[in-house]
Amino acid sequence: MNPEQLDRYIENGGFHVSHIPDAALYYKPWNTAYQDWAVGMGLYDKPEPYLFQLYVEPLRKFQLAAEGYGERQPPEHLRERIKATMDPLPIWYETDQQGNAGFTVNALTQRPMAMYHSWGSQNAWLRQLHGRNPLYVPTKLMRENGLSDGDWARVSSPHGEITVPVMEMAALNENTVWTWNAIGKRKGAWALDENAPEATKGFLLNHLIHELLPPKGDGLRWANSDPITGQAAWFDLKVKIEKAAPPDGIAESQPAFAPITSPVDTGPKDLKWKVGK
Amino acid sequence: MEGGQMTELPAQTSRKMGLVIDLDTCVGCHACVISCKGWNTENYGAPLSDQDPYGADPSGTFLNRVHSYEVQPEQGHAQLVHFPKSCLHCEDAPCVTVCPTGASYKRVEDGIVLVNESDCIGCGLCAWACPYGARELDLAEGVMKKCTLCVDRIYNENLPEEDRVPSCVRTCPAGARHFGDLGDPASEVSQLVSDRGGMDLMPEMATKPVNKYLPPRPKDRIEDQIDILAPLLAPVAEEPAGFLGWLDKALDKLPVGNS
Repeated sequence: MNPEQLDRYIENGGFHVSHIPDAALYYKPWNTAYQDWAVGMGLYDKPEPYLFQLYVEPLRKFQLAAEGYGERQPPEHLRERIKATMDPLPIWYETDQQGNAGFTVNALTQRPMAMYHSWGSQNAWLRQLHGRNPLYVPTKLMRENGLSDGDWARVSSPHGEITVPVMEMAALNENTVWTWNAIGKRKGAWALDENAPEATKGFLLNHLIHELLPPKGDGLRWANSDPITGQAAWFDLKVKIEKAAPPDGIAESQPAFAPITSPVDTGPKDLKWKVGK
Repeated sequence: MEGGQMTELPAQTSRKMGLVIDLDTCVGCHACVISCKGWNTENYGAPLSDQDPYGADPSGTFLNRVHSYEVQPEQGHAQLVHFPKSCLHCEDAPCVTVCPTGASYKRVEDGIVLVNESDCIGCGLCAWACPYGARELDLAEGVMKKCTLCVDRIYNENLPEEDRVPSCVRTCPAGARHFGDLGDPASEVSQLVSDRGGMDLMPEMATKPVNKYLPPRPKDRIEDQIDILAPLLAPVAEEPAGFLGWLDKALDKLPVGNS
C-alpha cells in the first residue's frame, strides 16, 4: 500500500522509467538476471525459464492417465482422444472434417507479415501493399482444372463453398492452395469504399470451416480445434477446387453479403499531412 | 553546362554512403516499407501523401517498396525472391544531371542524392531519367520524393547512437539491410559485399549505383543427404568391449515390456 500513490503520479507526470539492467538485456527466457529482475518488478511470480522440451513430459502425464495409470482419471468420453493425441513426441494424423473423401487439397492462410509491423491507423498504407488476395494455386492444379490467372474457381469443403479469383504460383506444394488472411472485408467495414477490392474480390476461408466437428453419436458436438492447444484448426482444412467462370464471368467473390451499417463515414478522399512550419 | 547536363555531379565524393540489401534473408515482410513511410512522413521534407486511400484504387508516395518475384529455374524448384527497392545513390546519377533547376543534387561529403524541395518544380524529368523507378512525385505536394538515407537520422545527435542509421535498416527484423560507407574498402558493408558477391543493379545502365544487393545463397539440396542424424547414429563399435560392453549387457538384462 502506498497512500501517496497519486502524489507520486503527479510528481512524475504519470510516468515511471525503470531500465532493464545490462546483464538482463539478452537471452531473457534463460537469463537469471532478467528472471530475477522480472520477479522483482512483478512481471513473474517466480523465475520461469522457458524450457524447450522435445519429449513433453506433461503431455505424457495426461496420456498415462488416459491409459489408466494414477488416481486422477479423465472422463470416459475424453479418454480415447487424450490417449491418441497427447503424445509426448510430435505426431501427425489426418484430421477428419466430416469425411475427407473428394477433398484432397490442403487450404492454408497466413496473415500478411506487414500487418504485424503496423496495424490499425496505418491501414491506408497497408492496403496498398496487400489490398487483394487471390487464391494461390499450384501449377499442376491450375492445369488440371483448366484455370488461368484471374479465373474464378469454386472451392468447397464438407461445410461450404466459396467462389474466388485464382492466381498461379509455381513455388507451392502441388496439393496446397493458400491465400492471405485478413484482407477480405464485409462491405461497410473498415471505413472502406464499397467498391474497395477487399470488399468485392477479397475473401476469407471461414465459410469452409465449421466451428464444430461432425456429430459422433455421443450427444456432444466437439469444437473443431486442436485438442492440445485449443487453436482453431485452420491448418486442417481440406478442399476441392473447380473452375467456375472466366475473369469477367463473375463480378464479386461469393458468398457476397449486403453492406453492414458503418458507425463512421468512409475515410477521406486524400491523406496529406502537415509537418513542421 | 557541358554535354547537355542541366545540373552537375561532383567529380568525386569523400564517402559513398549506401545500403547493402541481403536478398537471401529478406522475407518480404514490408517492415522497412512502412517504417520508411512513417519516418519520412513525420520529419525531413514534405510528408508522403496518399490518394483515394480508402477507395477502390488507392495509391500513395513510398520511398522504398518491396516487389516479390517468382523465379523458375530450368532445374530445381521455383522460388520467391523478395526485392526491396529504393534510391541507389548512384555515382553517375542521371536524375541529377537531368534536373533543370538544380534541385536534384549529390552531396560531396557523403554521396547522398537529395532533392531541394523549394527548388523542385515537379517536372518529373528525374523520375523519367532514373532507370530504377526509385523516385516518386508526391501528388499532394507536387515535389519529387526519394530516399534520403534518412539524412535527418544518420547525423542526428539527439538520437541514441544505435538509431543513427536509416529507418529501414533499424527496423528490419531479418537483419537484411546494412548501412555504411561503400567507398571505404575496409568498412563492414564493403566486406560484406566482397564476401557475398554483392551485385550492382542493372550495371549496363552505367549509373554506378552505390547500393549493393547480396544474391540469395543456393538452397540446400535434400538429395545430397536426407537424414542429418545418420552420421551420428553410425555404430561406435561392432563388438562392444570395456565400458560399452558392460553397458550393452546391463541394458540386455532390463525387463522387456511396456513400462
